[in-house]
Parts: sequence; C-alpha cells; structure tokens
Amino acid sequence: MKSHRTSRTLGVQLFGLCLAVFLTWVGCNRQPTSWEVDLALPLVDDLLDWSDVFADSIFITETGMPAVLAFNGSISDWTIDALTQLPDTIVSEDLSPDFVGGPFQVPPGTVLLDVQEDIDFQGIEQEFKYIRLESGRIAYSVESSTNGYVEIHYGFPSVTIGSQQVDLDVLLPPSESGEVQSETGIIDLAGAEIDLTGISGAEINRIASTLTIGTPAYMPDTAQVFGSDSIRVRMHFQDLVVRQVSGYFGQELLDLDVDQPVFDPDIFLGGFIGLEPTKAMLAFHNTIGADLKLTVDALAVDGVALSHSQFGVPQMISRADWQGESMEPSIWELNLLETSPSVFELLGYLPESISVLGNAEMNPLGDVSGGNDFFDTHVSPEIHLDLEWPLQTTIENLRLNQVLEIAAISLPQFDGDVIVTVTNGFPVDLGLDMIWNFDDPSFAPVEVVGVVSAFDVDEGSASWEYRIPMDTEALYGGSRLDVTGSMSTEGEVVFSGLERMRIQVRIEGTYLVEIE
Amino acid sequence: MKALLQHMKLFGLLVIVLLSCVDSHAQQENETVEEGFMGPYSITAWGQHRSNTLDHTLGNLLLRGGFIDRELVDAARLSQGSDMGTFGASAGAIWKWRSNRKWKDTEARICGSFQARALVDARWTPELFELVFKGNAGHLGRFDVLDGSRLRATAWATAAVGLEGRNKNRLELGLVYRRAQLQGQIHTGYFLVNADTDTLYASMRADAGYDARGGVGLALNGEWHFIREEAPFAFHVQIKNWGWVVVPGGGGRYALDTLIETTGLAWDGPGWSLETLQEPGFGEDFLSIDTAGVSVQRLPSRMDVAVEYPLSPRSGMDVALHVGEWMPLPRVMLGYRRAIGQQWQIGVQGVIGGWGRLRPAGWVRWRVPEKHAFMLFLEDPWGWGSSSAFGRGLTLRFEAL
Repeated sequence: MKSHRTSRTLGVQLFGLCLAVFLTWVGCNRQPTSWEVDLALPLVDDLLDWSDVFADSIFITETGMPAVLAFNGSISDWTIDALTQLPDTIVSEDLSPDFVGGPFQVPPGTVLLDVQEDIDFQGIEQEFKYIRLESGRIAYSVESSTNGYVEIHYGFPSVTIGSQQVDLDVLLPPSESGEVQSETGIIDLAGAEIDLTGISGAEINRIASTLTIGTPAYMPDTAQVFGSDSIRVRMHFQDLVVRQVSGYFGQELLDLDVDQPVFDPDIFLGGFIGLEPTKAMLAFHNTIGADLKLTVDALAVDGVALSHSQFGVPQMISRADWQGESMEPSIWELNLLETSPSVFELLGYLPESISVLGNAEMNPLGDVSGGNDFFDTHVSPEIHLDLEWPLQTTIENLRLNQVLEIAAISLPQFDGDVIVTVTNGFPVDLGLDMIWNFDDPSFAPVEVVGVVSAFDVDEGSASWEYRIPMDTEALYGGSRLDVTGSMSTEGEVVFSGLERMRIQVRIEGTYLVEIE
Repeated sequence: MKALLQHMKLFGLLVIVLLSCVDSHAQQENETVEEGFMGPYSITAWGQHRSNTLDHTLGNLLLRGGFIDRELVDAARLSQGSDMGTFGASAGAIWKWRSNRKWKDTEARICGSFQARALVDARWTPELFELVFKGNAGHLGRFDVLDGSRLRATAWATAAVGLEGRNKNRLELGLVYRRAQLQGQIHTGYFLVNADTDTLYASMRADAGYDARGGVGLALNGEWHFIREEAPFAFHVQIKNWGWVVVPGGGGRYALDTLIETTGLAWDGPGWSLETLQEPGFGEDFLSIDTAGVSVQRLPSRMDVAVEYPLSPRSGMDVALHVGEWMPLPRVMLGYRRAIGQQWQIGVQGVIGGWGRLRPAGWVRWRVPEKHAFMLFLEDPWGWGSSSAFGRGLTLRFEAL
C-alpha cells in the first residue's frame, strides 16, 4: 500500500511539473502588431452650378439658349411692432367689509359683489376695436381671509376662444384665523378673439368683464365675516402677441431701412459679371388695410447712391382690399432699370449689399375708414423684386473661393496621394488655385495651379486631375484646403443654365495598421 | 428557462436508464481493494489551436506582435482559398474521479469531475481577410462579401457529480459557472469600390456583445462504452457540457445596421458629408448600443463517438468523430495503435476537420499496471518545430489506476 501511494505522489508531482513547463511555454510577450494596407477610396464628390454661384436657392434658372436667371419674390418683410405687441395689463379687485369688528353671519347663496366693468388696456396709442391673438395668457390669483367658502366668477363675455367665452370660476375654502386661502393659475389666450369695444359696444381698447363674489348656495356653511377680512382678485394679461387687429391705427410713421446682403465677399473674391437684365421691377406691396404714404429716399449699392426720378417723392399707396380672409394688396413699383448709374452695372462688380432708405406714414389723410383699418401679421407689407436676366454675359476675372476644413486624420505611415479631379461643364476655361494649408507650421503649404479647359459641345466635358503627395504627418495635424476658381471670357458667352462643375477627391496609398 | 426544465427532465430519465443498466450482481473486476473513499482518478490538461489560414508565423505575429510582411499575408490567403477562414483554440484541464464505495446495493459508484475550459472560435470570408490585411486597392471593382464572419470566446468551469457503472459508463450533472463570453458577428456585409475609384458601396448588419457578469447553469456529461469480449470491436460515446447557463445581463450589446452608396461625400450639408463626418456623435444614428437583459444561453457542448477495432492482440485501429464545441466542421480522427512491451502503447493518427485541414497526430502511453499511467498526445507534431504549420495541440494525462 505504501509504495502504491508513493508512486501516486510522484505521478502528481511529475504531472504538475509538466503543466508548469507548458504554461511557461505558452506565456507571451506582447508587442504591437502591424501590417500595411493598400487603400483606394473616393472621398468627395460635389457639384457646383448656378445656384451655388449666386448662393441663393430662391433664384430659378429657366434653361435654354441663353438661360434666363429669374427671381420673383419677396426680398424683405416689414414688421410693425406698434400693431402687433400689446402692453401687459393688470386688473385688481379688493373687496373689504365697510365695518369694524364682527363676526357677521353670511348665509349660503349671498352675493357680496356683482359688478360689470371695462378693463382698460393702458399704453396703446392706436384705437383698437378687435384683436385676434397669436399668443398670450392671463395669470390670475385670488385670495380670501374669510372664515367661510367664497365663490368667485370672473367672466369675459368679449373674449372667446373657438366661440367659447373665457371665464374664471374659483371656489376658495374657509380660512382659519390669521390665514389666507389662495389660488393661482394661467389661462392660455392663444387664438383668442377679443372685442375691444367694452360693455357699451362703442369704446376702444377695453374688454368687458363681469365679477361676482359670494358664498356658494350649494354649500351648507355660514361664513363668519369680520371687518378685517378681505377678498382679492388679480388678473394679469401677459405677453399678448397680435395675429390680426382692426380699429384706427393712427398716423404712425414707419421707417424703411433695408440692408440686403448680395454677394458674400468670402466666396466672391472679385471680378466682374456683365449683368444686363431685361426686367427689374422693385415693388412695395401694401397688405395693410390702411393708406400709406411711402417715400423712398435713397437706394445704394455698397454705399454708392443711385438716383431715380421717384426717389424722395412721396407716393400715396391706398389700403389693401380685405374681403374676409382674402386680400388684394396695393402695389407701387419702381423700375430699377431707370436708375443712374445703373444698379446692375454696380451689381456686376459683386457688391456685398444693397440698402434702401425711406419711410412710410400710415393714414396720411386721417381716419378715412371710420376706424376700420385692418392688419394681419401673417401677411406683412413686403418689398418685392421681379428680375429676369438672360445668361448671355461677359465675365472678367471672376474669382470664387471655397474653404474646406479637414480634421486631423490618423493614418500611420501613410504614403500615397490625394487625387483631385475637376470636370468643367461651363463653356469657359476655369483657372484653379488650390492651397493646402496645414495647421502644423512646420509643413509648407502645398499649392497647385492649373487650368480646366472649357466644355466643348463636340468633345464634351474636360477633366483636370492632380495628384498631391501626402504623408502621415501632414494629415495628422489637421489642414485647410483653400480652392479658388477664376473665370474670364472673351466677349459675351451664352450659358444654358445646365452648366455643372464636378469636384472629386479620392485617396490612394499605403498605410500601416497598428494594433496595440 | 423552459429549455432548462426540459433539460432537467431528460437528465432524470437518463439517470434512471443508467441505473437500470448497472448490474446488480457481483462484478468480476480485478482491481485493488482500497479502504478510502476516493478511487481511481485522472487529470488531463490540454491546449491546442488550429487554423486553415494562419500559419504559426502569422499567428505568432498576431498574438505576440510585430510587423506582418505582405508575403505572409499572400501565403495565408492562398491557403484559405475560397473557403471560410477559421481559427479555433481550446485549452483547459479536467479532474475526473470515482469513489470506491458502491451506491446502495448496486455496482454503481459515485463519480465526479471538475473542469475549467476556455474556447475561441473565429471565422472570416476570404474577402474580409483581404480587406483587412491587404486593403481594397488590389481588387477594385469586386464585391467583398463579409457575411458570416464572426468571433466568439468563452471560459467556464464545471463541478459535476454523478454515478459510474459498468465499463466506466457514467452520467454527471454539473453546476456551471461561465465567467465570461464575448461575441461579434457580421450577418450581412458588402464592400465595393469600383475600378475608377469614384463609387463606394458599403453595407453592414452586424452585432456584438459581451457579458458583464458571470452566468450560472447546469450541464450534463455522459459516457457510454460498449465493450464486450464476444464483440470484435469497442464503441464509445461521450457527451460533454450539454447544458445552459442563465446570464444575469448588464453586458453591452452593439448593433450596426447601415448602408452607404456614394460617389464621394459632399463638402457640407446634412446626411453623409465631410462636414457631418467630422462632427462629434457621427455614427450614433446607425450604431445602437444597449444593455443586455437576463438571458439563457447554451454552452458549447460536444459529442465524441469512437470505434476501436483490434487487428491483433497487441494492435488495433480506431476511428473517432467529434462534433460541436463551436467547431465549424466535425473533426474525424483515424488511427493505428500498438503495444510495445508490457507498459508502453503508441499510436499514430490522421486528423481532419475541426478548424483545420488534414494533419497528423501521435500519442504514447506508459502504464504501470494497477498503479498509474501517463499519456502524451501531440496533434500535428510538425507544429512544434515548423513555422509554416497551421496549429498544434498537446494533451497530458495522468491516471491513478
């Protein structure tokens, strides 16, 4: 038996030794694993067309030979704060007994106060008869120190939301000695229609209201009223924004000061485009149900003032014709082709902005409508442009710039090229000047200059390809690609409106994949 | 949980069958009579890895680091051919024992085992291998199919008890503690860059996950050996780790489902553009991250079937079939064995399937009758010296008889 156990012990020890040797053998010493990978990927594919040139999607290109670049729409809205924003108004009622001492027994169903009165909106210079609110609210609070149930009804018969009258009904429980029962809340007035003619129906800027304070008839509780008790009601009309308003708007003087950006100088670096529109009408659309006297004092392109026979001359524009929800505006037009110097000659030099200065006086003849002026904020007065420009033009050294920020890219030991391909669909030679600026100043900028030939009807689009050698360090620090395209024509060139320019960027090369 | 209950019922039925097979009559076994509870036992430890693509040099570089030369990648790609690339690794140890005391009035004895195992399984399409290790530039215009590529790894331990009857037939029920498991799989995936490098198509539907906490479950181990003096062959069946674990959840779950077909990105604008690509949070729209809930997961069980056929009193042939344990193909072993002297046995085998292609194996067993035995098994012996082999395996076993 002993030798049997000894041999077993020896066997276990021998096996343990073998296992230890095995585990030591499989132990590993880990280093990063790396290998090279050949990469070929498309990165960028972008198209530039006329909508990018003018950087505004509201331009519509009517294709043809030549194409017509047309615009017909609003370039500026007019907001009239005096008609659209009402001042906040607070209404308070404080009911106190006119005796000292007490208590006096007030049985159920007793009316303590029952009044009808107008709430007067202070601070409105116009004479409003009706408003429809876009938004607004009433913040209310009621308090009672009476030792008995108090019922409060505040009704606004001239305020309706969806044909429902706005009412406030509050029941306050009895107050213990020295305490005050209160309730606060909000009544949303979005979409509310308000008759501002008051109780008599002949007032202005007033809301009719009824206030009833009493003890509820259905509560078998007798209130104990002391001379020191009080009941307070407070209504706060807040943030009232008008959607529609009618009444007499007064002889408000409105400033006309429009500064319209045209060409972004970061994109349009310079040059000249021969602009010769066949139609260019600037129009003022009066959508207010009130007469206006409009005076355009000046029109300037990048600060260069233009002259026109109608500048400085007051123009009477009659009120818009409102029939229910439909409206026919009154329009006054100014032919921009008659300015001196020509506004389009100035626009051809790619200005940053156009400014219009002037003013408009509302109701210059007084209250000729008998208090029936009308304004809908969803249909504001606007300055409208109707422009048609055949794309048959001369271009002189037009330079457009686009900048692409490229974040840091980690491609270890990258050795390859970034390939830029430009396909020109315009019938004009395109000069390209690309500068690849690296955030790390130790890398010199890479500049590539080339010319992409004009599109030829017989030979099709011309492509230009350039390979920019690139390595890991250059990509790792982040960079900025600055692309400047330039165009010039010899005389007038006809454009079809279908011209496109395609910019493709792809990357080809080898880099090291490394796994820690 | 329903599957687990069915599992328990099946286990109960198998115990009854096993006990009914136990011969209640005295058995004529020539064994040492011992006083203690513990009877014969064995301890086995093994480690092996195998691939049909990655040879030792490439495998070592992936595991231990270093620069992978393109020639190695090309050779591996050539080895893979058009098959799914596979890599598998298995390591562990098991202690099996039985008692000397009989169970009640039967010939059955209480037996048990304790084992700890770790398993890795990886598969990849030829196109994925090329895309990862060579890049896409060399095969522009070809659709790279990534479907079915996956990686999974697990580690668990089982403590089991059961009954051993005649011919060492045994059935055990084990308590399993699965420490960890992670997995990732590409269900469908395609990648294409056309010959002019101006169109890219990529789609991917994949998921991955890991278990943050260990799972507990039950597993069944069973062995049935057909050994008859009157029969000219022996037949063996083994079932290992047939069971489930309940995983408490809490691990991460990641699902990716996206498709992009582009000739290049725009400079800026919404959607796929260089601008949005560089913004923080890009990718959140198509990568969903979730936390796993409680789940019941099956263990990587395995079944071995073997037939031994004696050619003479001192030599024989054997054939074995191994199925399961995440092996992509069943593993088949065909061998010849021979006794040398009174205490030595050797065998040579050919192995095919599992995670690799045809390879040799050999073993030697030294047995001191009624005392102990050592066994050494080497799979692919060339793998211990050659850097171009595709795997190797070592098994050490000590048996106290």
